[in-house]
Amino acid sequence: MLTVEAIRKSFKTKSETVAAVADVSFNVDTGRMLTLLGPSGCGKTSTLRCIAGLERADSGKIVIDGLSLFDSTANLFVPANKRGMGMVFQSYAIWPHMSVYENVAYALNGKGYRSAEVKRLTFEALARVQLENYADRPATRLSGGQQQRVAIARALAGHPKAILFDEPLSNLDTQLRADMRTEIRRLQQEIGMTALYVTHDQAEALAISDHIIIMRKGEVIEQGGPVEIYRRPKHIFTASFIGQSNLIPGKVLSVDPSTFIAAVDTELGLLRGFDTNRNLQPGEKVMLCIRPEDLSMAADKVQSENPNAISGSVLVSIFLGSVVEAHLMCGDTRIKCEFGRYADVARGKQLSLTFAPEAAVVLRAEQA
Amino acid sequence: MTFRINQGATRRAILAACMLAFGAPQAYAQTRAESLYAELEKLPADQRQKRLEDGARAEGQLRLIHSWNRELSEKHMAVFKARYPFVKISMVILGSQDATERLLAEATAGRHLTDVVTIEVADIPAVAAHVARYDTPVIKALLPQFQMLADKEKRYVPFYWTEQGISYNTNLLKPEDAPKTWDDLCKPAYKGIVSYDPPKVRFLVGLHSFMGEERLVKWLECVGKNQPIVQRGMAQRMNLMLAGDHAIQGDNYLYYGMKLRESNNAPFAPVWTAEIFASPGVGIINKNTPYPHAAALFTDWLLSAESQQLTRDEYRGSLTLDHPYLPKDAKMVFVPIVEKELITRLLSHWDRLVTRAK
Amino acid sequence: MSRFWPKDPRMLLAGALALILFYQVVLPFLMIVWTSLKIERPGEPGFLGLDVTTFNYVRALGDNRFWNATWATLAFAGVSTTIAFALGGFLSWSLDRTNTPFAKAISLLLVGRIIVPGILIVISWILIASPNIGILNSLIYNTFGVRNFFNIYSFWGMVWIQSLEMIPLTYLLLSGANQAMDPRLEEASIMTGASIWRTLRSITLPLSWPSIAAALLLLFITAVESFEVPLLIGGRAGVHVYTTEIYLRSSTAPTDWGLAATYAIALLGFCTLLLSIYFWMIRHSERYQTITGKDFKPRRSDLGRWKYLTSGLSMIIVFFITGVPFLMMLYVSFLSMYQPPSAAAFSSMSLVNYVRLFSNPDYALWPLANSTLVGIATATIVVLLVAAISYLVQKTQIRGRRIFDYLAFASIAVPSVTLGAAFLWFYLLVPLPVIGTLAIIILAFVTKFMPTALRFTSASMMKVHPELEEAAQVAGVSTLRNFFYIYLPLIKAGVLAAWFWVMVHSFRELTIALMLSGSGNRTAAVVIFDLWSTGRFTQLAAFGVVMFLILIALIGLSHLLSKRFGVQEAE
Repeated sequence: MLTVEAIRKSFKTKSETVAAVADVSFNVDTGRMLTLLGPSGCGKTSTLRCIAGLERADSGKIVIDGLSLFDSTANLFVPANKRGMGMVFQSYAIWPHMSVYENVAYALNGKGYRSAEVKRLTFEALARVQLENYADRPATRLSGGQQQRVAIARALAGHPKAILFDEPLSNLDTQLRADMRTEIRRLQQEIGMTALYVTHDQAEALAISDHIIIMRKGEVIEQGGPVEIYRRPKHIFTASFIGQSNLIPGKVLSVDPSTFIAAVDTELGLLRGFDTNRNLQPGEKVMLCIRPEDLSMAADKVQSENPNAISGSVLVSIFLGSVVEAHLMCGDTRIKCEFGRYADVARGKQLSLTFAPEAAVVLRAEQA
Repeated sequence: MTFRINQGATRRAILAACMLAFGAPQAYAQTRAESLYAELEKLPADQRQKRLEDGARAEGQLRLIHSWNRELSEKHMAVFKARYPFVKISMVILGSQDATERLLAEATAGRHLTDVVTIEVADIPAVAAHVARYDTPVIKALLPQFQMLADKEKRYVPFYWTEQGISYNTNLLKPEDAPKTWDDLCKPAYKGIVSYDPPKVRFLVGLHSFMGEERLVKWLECVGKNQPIVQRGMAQRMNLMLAGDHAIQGDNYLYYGMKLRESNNAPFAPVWTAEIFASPGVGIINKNTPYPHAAALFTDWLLSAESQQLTRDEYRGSLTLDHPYLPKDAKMVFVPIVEKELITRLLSHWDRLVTRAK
Repeated sequence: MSRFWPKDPRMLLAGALALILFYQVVLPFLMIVWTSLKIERPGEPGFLGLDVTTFNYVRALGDNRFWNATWATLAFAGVSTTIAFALGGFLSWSLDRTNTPFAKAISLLLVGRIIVPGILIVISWILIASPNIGILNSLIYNTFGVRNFFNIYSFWGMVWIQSLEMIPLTYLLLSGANQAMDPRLEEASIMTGASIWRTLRSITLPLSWPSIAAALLLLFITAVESFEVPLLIGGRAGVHVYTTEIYLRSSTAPTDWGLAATYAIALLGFCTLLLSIYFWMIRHSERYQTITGKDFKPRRSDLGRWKYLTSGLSMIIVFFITGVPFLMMLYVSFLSMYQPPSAAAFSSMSLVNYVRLFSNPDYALWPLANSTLVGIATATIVVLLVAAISYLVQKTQIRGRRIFDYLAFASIAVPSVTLGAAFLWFYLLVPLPVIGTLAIIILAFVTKFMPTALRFTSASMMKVHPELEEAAQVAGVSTLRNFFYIYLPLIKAGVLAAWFWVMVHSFRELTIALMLSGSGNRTAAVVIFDLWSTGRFTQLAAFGVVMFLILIALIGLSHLLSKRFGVQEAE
């Protein structure tokens, strides 16, 4: 298990000191994949580099499998090359003067393996990424995706205690990125490796992780499993950063103390949603967040007793293949929704939408 | 990249480039300056002087290469300017050999950018073909003992001389322990403490003129075995000796040490009992000068009273005034002009016996 | 765009460069080659005749002295290069690539040293380590009773001074290489568990190989070509190298141009050979293209406690390179005549040398201004030329582009004395009114400094990935804009190093300035020679101190400016 406790890291510029990482703590359970997700500049890469040992945190504690790697109170700092971790870089960092084989074997040489053993382990690692036939190629004669596989094989070869991914897919094109993330997830589960993954791509994070940590401005906003994070965000930033959300401002009227369904007064009328934080008080300013795919077309006659109904006219609709996306103007509010591909949503058509109260979340509005 | 030029096309290309660069060689005939100077010889002194001054005033400028050091050259020119303010002088400072080289380069290229050059008389043969024949009455001002320095062929006007000889550091050697003659420098007592410049034609020709070749070879041989210090830079070597680096100098300008003794109380003493080589410095006129009047006026001025006074004050040997420190009985040897073959031979003796001595 | 414009503007660039190189390099070279094949001097009747002769070659190569000098030159250059590279490499690593304390200040002093005139450095070392009057020797004698422990007048003395002389160059060349290195490549190695040392050996050094090879080549040729140390020390040490042989054999008027040209040709052949080896070694340069649009900030390794050792060692080396000569200069500059330190010497100290130096502006101030002008002009012209040449050679597919590289580099083989003569002859014969002006000095300096500057920029250019230009071309940017807005900023480190190097060496280069100087174009180097040749070491020292301080102030200022206006360095 990898434990990170209260890590802080700041950088000095000519005029001020900027906190890149401010008091970040989390655990990565053995054999699990944890993702640090956030927009650029949120401190996720700095956190990763502190764990790798490439940067030295200002304070905090890092422990792997009971072994302290960094402890500011004990003035302990294990250098990067002694931490026994593997790392995959955004720019691949494949050594251009070596062949594919040499790149991978480098991680094993000098660790007391016999040469036959090095060869076996190298080919084993190459086989895991399906590159065993490319062993003799100069590393620069590979495509971007292949280079990233080499980087993964290199990080795997030494059987590290944990493997760190620093936005490994952001230099690849969309299709390849999707393939590679499946591949990384497969490998991680197959080997049962402990992994820490850094990305700014929420889809990637959802697809690949056992656990996600959302970061912003050096702080952890919230964490949880992908489903939980997606379905039940506790923070408005999460709701808007992950997936798509319609955010409807309003004021809490009441909260049901047993179901935690909150009634919210919005400019679209009274709407109900789930209070994920279970602590909203009447009168608080909130946002009601509803995902486009959770909106469905109401039957011809709107049930007057159902409060979760929105009506408006179609502003634009786009056929996306599997679904149709439509934007409705409901008063002054623009609402995005998704329907099945056979839906008839021509521009200008009046629609009534409805959603289950459990599908929407009510989150405390941020003070701007 | 290859440098073969056996193919016709390449060869023609190179030639074309050279033709473009060099132009046609010039013809040799009497120049404007030379015919003017021939004419001047016939005039009486006062008319001659007036004609020179009027001509120089009309020409208004002169381009000079002076081989004295910069500070001294500038002092010298300031004196000239006081006398003839109407001649604007642009001056380049170059050593005698480089000055010779420059004049030669300009002359062979047919670009005449220099009118008057001051060089050592030893460098005359190299430029003889390019200097104007100039007979001037100012030569009469030379002291009787220096009359023989005047050139029979009128190619140059001598105006000062420098002396080179043995000297030593008085902190390191007592006068009684100092060498007395050139042969003394071979003594084992002086092993490794005598310094020389890399071979100077003037020095070797000076030694040759009183030793003869056979004795010179023997002398070079024993000097070579006496672990001589051979180091480039006359002024630098003098400073090093006076700072205590070594005790004796086989050849260096004595005036420089005398000046340092006077201004800085330097521990310097010349050896007056050994031969002193005197080498005259001369002024020459480029025969293709476009300013022949100014050139002649300047060359005459070199022997004027004020020019000679400055020369004497700076411890360069004046040719019209008595010497400030040279003893009457000093053994002066004037370095003669010799043929090229002898120079080559002397240099190769030095090279074999001194430079490569182990 | 005009219809006379060629289809590919790169061809236009190639044409322009070809013309410039032909004029600046090929023509002077043709003169040297032709002169080496003739008995007649340039301009003499018969010089243009078709009868060429091998007379000069037979004279030069048939002489045992030529071969002895060749051997001495190789030994001198080889050993000096090795030491300079080892120490310079250490400095470059510890100052640029580790968390060594005081790295910035140390590197400032190291680079500032470049401006101190070579003559002054040699004199300083004579006063420090010569037998009899060397301060170090008298210290050792007083402390340990050993007489004349050091002898600067020896092969090793020459090597010592020459190595120290070349360390700043090594440092500058390798700094460029450091900035072109993606730090992630090294981090990847660290993350596999490799030590700092293994990373250095297996990753950093092999990836920097083209720059290292270029640095070695350049150092070696610089040592072969060096003149001041062999002349002032070698003569007394009995070590005769190539340049001093040329000097000795041509030191009687009229200069034997045929022989001098022949030596230059031999030197040229030798350098061409080295250059070919270099090109062969870096033939897979595409393997080293690692820049992806970023200007890298080199990764600094944390050395832990060892950083005090590297800091201490760097300070000691820089103390020898800069501190020792500077302190010596400072001491001498207050004396009226050199004397070893003593109570009497200290009591006689005064500022008279500084006063004398600057009381007459014609004497030192105008030449300093001239040198500044020449330096800025030369550096700017050279940098634009070599950047264009490296671009053409490395980033285009124009046929025969390698020739540009050879040509621009070839003039390194010509000793300054020969190059100066070639330019003087050339402009005596070509009726352009440049003799006696700063223009002729600038023209000659451009040819002289192109080779070194070219190595700086081409090491940087080699690492720029061509897709950057392709991206710009797709965006419809013209080649010219591309060059100025894409390439120049990307190879900024190399360009700045080259500019600085040329600028400073324009101040120092003596031989050429001396040969081409007239009444109106005296440069600082000529002042130095005037002072040296008239034995005014004390004034010379004062001049050296002033030049050094000016340069340190300029570098400090540029640091401040780039901090204030420069781009903030990102994480």
